[in-house]
Amino acid sequence: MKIRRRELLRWSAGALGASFGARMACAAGVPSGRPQAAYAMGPRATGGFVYAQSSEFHEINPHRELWSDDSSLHFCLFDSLIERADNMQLIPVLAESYQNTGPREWSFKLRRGVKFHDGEPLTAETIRWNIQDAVRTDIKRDVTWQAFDHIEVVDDYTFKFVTKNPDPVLPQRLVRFFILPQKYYSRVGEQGFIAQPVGTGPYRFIERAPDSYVKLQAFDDYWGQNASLRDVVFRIVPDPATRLSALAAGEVDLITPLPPDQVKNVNANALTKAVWVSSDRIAYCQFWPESPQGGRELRDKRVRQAINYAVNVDNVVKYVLNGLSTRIPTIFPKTTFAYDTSLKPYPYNPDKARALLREAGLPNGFSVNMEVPANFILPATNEVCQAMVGDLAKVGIKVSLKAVELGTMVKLRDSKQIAPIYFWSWGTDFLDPEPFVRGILYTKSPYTFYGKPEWDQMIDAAATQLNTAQRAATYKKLQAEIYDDPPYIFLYAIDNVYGIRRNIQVTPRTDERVIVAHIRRT
Amino acid sequence: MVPLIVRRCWGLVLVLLSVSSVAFVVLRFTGDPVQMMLPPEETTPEQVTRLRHLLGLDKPVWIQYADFLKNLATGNLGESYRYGTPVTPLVLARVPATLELAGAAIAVAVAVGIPLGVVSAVRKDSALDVFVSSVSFLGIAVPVFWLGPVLILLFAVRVHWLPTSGTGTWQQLVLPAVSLGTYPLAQLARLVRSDVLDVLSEDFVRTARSKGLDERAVLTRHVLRKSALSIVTLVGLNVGVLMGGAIITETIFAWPGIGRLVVQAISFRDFPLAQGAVVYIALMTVVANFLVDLSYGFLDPRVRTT
Repeated sequence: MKIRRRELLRWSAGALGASFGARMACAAGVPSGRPQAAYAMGPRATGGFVYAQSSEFHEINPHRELWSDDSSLHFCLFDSLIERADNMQLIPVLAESYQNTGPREWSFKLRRGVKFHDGEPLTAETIRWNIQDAVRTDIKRDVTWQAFDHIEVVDDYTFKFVTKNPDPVLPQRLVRFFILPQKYYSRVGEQGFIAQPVGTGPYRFIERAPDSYVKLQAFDDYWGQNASLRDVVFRIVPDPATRLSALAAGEVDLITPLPPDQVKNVNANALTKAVWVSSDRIAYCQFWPESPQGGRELRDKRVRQAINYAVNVDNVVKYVLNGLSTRIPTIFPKTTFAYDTSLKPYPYNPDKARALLREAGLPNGFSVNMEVPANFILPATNEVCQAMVGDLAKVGIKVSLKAVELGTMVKLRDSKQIAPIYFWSWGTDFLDPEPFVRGILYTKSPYTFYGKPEWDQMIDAAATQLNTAQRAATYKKLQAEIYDDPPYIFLYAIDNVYGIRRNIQVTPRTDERVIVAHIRRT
Repeated sequence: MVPLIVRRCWGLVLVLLSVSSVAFVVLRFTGDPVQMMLPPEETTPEQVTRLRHLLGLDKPVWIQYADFLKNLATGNLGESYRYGTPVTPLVLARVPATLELAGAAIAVAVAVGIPLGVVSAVRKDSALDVFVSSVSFLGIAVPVFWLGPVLILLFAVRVHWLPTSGTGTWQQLVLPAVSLGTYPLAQLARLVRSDVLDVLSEDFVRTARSKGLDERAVLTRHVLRKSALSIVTLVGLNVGVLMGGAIITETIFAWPGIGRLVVQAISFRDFPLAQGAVVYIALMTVVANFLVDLSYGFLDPRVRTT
């Protein structure tokens, strides 16, 4: 077939025109295959609540992994047996009450009259099925279920959790064990559930455009107090500057995280403000004296103490992080019950640092490599490390700092190729020391680079002590030990900073969650 | 024509095989997907081992590669580690957004760049020419990571004419299209200016003028037709690149296209998804180049006869 040039041009013009026409028709509200975005101009135009977050949702199914980025959506769609109030107190939610009825036994009373968004009722059998689903080998979250042994259903609204060993943090483990509808899930399968999730939460799912937005609406038959904000949109806006612009332009009501250096700008705007709270997410620099990159000098605890004396963490917090972090003496955040108030952070004392280095036989200092993730969940990590490098140079420690892409850094850490000093962060919503010390201090953990068998014994003991005072005493002893023989440069717990419209009432939460059902518009 | 198409199809197969193999090998050097998929604070080593087994990452790499080639031969690009669904629909779901943005950017470039180039050439050395040349230089020099946020600040934050980001309405398309279209626009304006200046001094243009054609007809029917080959080449190459996604623009404007998908796939070490997206990008680039080659025959009779 021979096509003339003029015909080709005519067809091309026709195709372009048709495509443009279809686009305009979509914009005018004619239904198309693609989701509409009536909220394009945000709450200013629609009155709905819009929350912009940085990352696409990892897992819609909460029985799979639980990432911080997913939690706000999960708390809208689903409820768990136990949750945390904005003041971080544990409160029964789908459980009406719960109590420790034996060393290994916890008894739960289920709330009556709770329905899923599709009308399915909640009973103790639903809980039993949820556990069966959650402990499936392919998706089991060990952190929730490692101590769990079995469930005993007593009647429709009563059941017991039996653990393998005494487990003082069982309620904390259940905070994000979200309850799914047995019949609906079994009918539609996992992919069907991800496409159209159903829960008992204060909001029901309306639609989702991957990597773009999720739209929800208040669930009228919610068992508790109905949500104040009726229409809610989660928008995915990966670029922090664009999120900030969207807030300033009135397109979104709330953005997280707000970089500390933008707090002043946000507060200067008559329509927006910043709010924050100290979180349980800590920053630290791990010492690894056995690194293949060197660092044998760090085997001597006086050298590690010297480094802690040499870095001016208060100045880092004040000038690099605009004061939006809380200095901590060890790795225990102030939010944990066992935080030792008698311990004070290492003071900035370069003379003492030099003296300790001389005692350790390093009067002229030494050279060492340091690595920091270039793109991290914490703000200004590279700048923080640069400030510390400057401080360490003043006492003769020459640090070669390298910013490494996050995935590459994870690979270096897991293959034990990482630098003798590296910047990292840890945080969980347990608000309990157990996941911290188990993760980065217990010698059997892959993420521990300096530990001791006697510390392991303390960690194991505290993990099974049901008496809170006894546990606190064990952890306080552990804090004193690691303070004296520091496995890390002890840094700070970051503040969770939100940027909000001034007509929004929200209590910032220590556990990094944004619970939309608790937010009000004035 | 048919032998050319057959030759190009073979070439396409070779390109796809090479590109996907290189992507397979390079990605394996970048780290462990399992460690990126599980929150480290809440993950035990046993969980890591289980997931690695489930994803087949505990097999030797050469067996993984053989599986990958076997699947590729049947058009199966595997399942995304992160989303747990087949890669092809995930990639194809991003195509409309990418096509929309690329099409709009090219439309901006063509609609503004060609007239600017022509006007600049016709009024050579005038103040307008100097202005257009300066703007073209600026358009080539200004990076999109600067231009995008500036446009957002001006048109979304200051005057509230357009939304900052997102997709779904024509208003949301304007700023990313202008940001992305500025570079090819400037390129086109400079190319057209220099082409038109060359052609204006040729004999057939003088003949066209001497037979009484008005200046507009001379420019559109004779001068621009001669420049069509280089314009199509430039636009075609840009189309190929833009179909592969505009990573920075899509990130700045929260545009859910291929570019962002690739960045996310690589960040999460989602090997099958990253490989699938790379195969798609290679495919689009080869197809765009092929169409440019074909268009030469339609635009220039001399190409058809050689």
